[in-house]
Amino acid sequence: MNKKIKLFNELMLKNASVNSRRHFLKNCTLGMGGMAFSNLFTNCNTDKKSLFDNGRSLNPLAPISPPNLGKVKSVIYLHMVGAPSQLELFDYKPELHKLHNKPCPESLLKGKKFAFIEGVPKMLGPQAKFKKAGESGNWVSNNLPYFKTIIDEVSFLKAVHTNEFNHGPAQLFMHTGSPRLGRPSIGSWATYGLGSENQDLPGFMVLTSGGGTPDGGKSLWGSGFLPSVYQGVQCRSKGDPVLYLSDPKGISRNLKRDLITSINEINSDEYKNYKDPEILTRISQYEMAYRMQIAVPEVMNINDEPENVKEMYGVKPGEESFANNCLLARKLVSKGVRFVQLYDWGWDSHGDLEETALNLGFKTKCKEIDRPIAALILDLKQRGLLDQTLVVWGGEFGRTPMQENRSGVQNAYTGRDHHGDAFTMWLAGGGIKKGIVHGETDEFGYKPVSGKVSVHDIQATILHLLGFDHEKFTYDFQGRPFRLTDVEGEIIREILA
Amino acid sequence: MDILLNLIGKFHPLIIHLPIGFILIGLLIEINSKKFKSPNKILKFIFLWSSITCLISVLTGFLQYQSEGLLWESIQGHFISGIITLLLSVAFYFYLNKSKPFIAIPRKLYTIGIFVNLLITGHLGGNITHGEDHLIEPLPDSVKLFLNKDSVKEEYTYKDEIDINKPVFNNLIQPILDSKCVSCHNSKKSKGKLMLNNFEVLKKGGKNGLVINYESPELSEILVRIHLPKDVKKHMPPKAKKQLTKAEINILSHWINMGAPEKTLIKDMEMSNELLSNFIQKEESFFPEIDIDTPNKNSISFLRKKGIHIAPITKSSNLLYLSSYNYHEFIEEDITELKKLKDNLVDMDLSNSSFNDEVFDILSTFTNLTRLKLNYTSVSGKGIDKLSSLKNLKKLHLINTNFNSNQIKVINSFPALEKAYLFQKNRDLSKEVTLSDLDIEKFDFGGYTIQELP
Repeated sequence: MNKKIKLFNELMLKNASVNSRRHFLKNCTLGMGGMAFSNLFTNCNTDKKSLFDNGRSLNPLAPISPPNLGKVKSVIYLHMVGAPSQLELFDYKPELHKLHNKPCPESLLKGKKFAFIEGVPKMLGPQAKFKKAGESGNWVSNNLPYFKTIIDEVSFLKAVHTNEFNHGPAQLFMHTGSPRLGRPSIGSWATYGLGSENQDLPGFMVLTSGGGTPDGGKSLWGSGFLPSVYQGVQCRSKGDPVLYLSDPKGISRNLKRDLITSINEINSDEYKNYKDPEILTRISQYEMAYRMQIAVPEVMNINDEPENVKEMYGVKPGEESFANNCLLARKLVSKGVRFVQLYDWGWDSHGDLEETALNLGFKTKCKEIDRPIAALILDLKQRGLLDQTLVVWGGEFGRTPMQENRSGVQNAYTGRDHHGDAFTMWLAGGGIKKGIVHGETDEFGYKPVSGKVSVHDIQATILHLLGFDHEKFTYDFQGRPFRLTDVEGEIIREILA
Repeated sequence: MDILLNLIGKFHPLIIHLPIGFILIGLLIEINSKKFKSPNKILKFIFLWSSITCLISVLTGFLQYQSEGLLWESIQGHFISGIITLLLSVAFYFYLNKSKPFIAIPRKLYTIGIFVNLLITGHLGGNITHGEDHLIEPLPDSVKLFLNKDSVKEEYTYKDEIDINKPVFNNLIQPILDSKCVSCHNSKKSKGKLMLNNFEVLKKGGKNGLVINYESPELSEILVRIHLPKDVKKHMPPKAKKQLTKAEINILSHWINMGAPEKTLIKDMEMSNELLSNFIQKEESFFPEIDIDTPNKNSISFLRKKGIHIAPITKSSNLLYLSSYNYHEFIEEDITELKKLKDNLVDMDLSNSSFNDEVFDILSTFTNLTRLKLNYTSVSGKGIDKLSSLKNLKKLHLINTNFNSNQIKVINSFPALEKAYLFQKNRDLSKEVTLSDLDIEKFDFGGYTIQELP
């Protein structure tokens, strides 16, 4: 007993000597000053109100109104991973035929760097037949026969350019506005700014197909410096749509509810003390997961769709396919999901393998997306969703009019190298003109001649359609406000209705 | 010689800090004169030097005014108060020397006078370099309003309509210049000695000559600068500033091509309608543009608590959007609260809700309702004629309902209707109506199929 008292006294003495007045005066005055100054001079606040103070209270995904009247409520972004060849799909260049198999003119190579082409490559004529289609009379190749049905709904951008010619950085650039890691993706910005109207589903969902994941990795739908609650939720179209969503054996839903309630109570106390937005993320993710257990299997189930709809898309239930994902995208959007991002892998048509040959693998890829895309647009239209949904199609860059000669030796199959100076993307849906072509490339489809638009221009346009001014939509991080479009980007008014 | 004077003038902002320093240390010694053995001796030395540097400051200031295209109106206060400071400093020096006329004036008058003058000169000088509102700018808007300063900046918006019977310059060209150029090219701050704040000064041009080339209008400096690539240093407006829109550029070049007149009426400018209408770019608003009272806050929070999403269509609007994604079973008390918001609700998504045909009766008083979605409800359309009184109803979504094809004719007569979506899962309503009786443009019956390819 005595020993215990002795030990206790010793502890008291130790404590007292640590927290003495002398200690405070000697060591803490400068420390306090330092802490005060660090807050005064280097905090991240640039005097803008955080969205969290804006009536979102404890729910970071609560829907909030856009600053301007947006034309669309949702976006479906179809990204063809690997960069599809514009010269075999939409950008018809009969002149290129004449140069087929002839050495590339030096003027095109001067001062240029390519991902794989070395020396003087041969030109490669269009490896597809083109036809004018629809009332608009826009060109489309025979690789996309079904696309003709919807060609009048679409606005083409034929002179998009990007600064990056490698997949990873170019994909990051396309989705986050910066070719390096760390920025939030466009879907994260959208959900951060608008929230999710359907409280049972995430605001930003990602579906992949084609057997591979994008080179840019999960950062393409990452939230960057935004609170992580805004990152895209990846769903699988095969097996459990969201991994680890279903309850483990022996755990009833009631027990789960009690568990989540208690955890969240502790977490909200924690938030009151520390105001760390990541705690809010944690709380809302628990809640969301609980609600998703019911909502997700329902929305991700395409078996209940009527036969004619399934046939229209050409879905393959139980498999991972772009067609399934297109149908799912329509279902998600009709449930109020803000941003649906589809990635289809396998478009890197170098011609080094059979799968990447323009006359073989590329044609298979075209078949896989052609019908589902046409079906998606028509289905959105007949459900009255198209005028409030924006559909964006594109890759991370385009492909060269030259045939690829890896290390100076012509590739085994016909293929093209990476090319960022000019490529085609299209947009359709709310606020977009119908049947318009904006931008033009030279006779080889190599350089923009008019209507050149940048990646930031496209992002500015998407944000504009959602109701944002891309120059004012910022987030404070590391002492300065950040924008999706950095310091660039102009709205492409030519394609806006 | 000019270059040299120019260069010396540039040193004005540096040199002025010398007399400021001298005067302040002099005044400090004056206040604490008891601490010094012979303060007057020290002060004499200090004010001699303050007078000399003051004189240099005034001279360099004059040179700078001469060479940098500043207007007399904008610098006169600073210039005069600077000279007064110089005179007072010299006078005080003579006072300390006990010279005749100066000794008669009380010492305090000198010191206080110098101090006050120094403050005034410094402040006015700051106004020239940093702009007149540089002190007020960081203050919150409310304080600015209290100070009654119009420095609360507003974005320039063009008037909805252009009166084509008015002179072109003041009514079309000057507004463009005002919004994009004048902030750097005005009577106070004329970069490149160019002013664009009225017709006379614009015609004078700037340091590099005229901005308008009457002989070959396309080569006018003002147009060339606008068309240079953004990254070129000579591009105007500078990269970081707000750029001219294409419509503005078109108007501007048209005006210059026509000889850059001032008084010609807009209608005589041979401007195509397209040119003008692109410029105004008045977008027709989908929702009614009306002034409406702020919605009933209690009703909103009541409905929100139930899980109904209800929010203004934009952050600053009094018009409301409602959706029932998270709440389907509407009961009596919800409807009572909804009715309190009847003037504000313009966009309602009641898909999947429990509403039946009684919904039309409820909504018949929602005068501003513009978009109504009743997808996946059991409405049959009975009583939908009550909605014909809604003068703004443009979009009507009735997908997968029990809609009765007899009611389609009623929809056809709605005054503002743009589109009705009538796609049904297992039946085709278009086969149940005589299409020739309808404005077919207004209907989408869906049921699209994709033609099989061989």
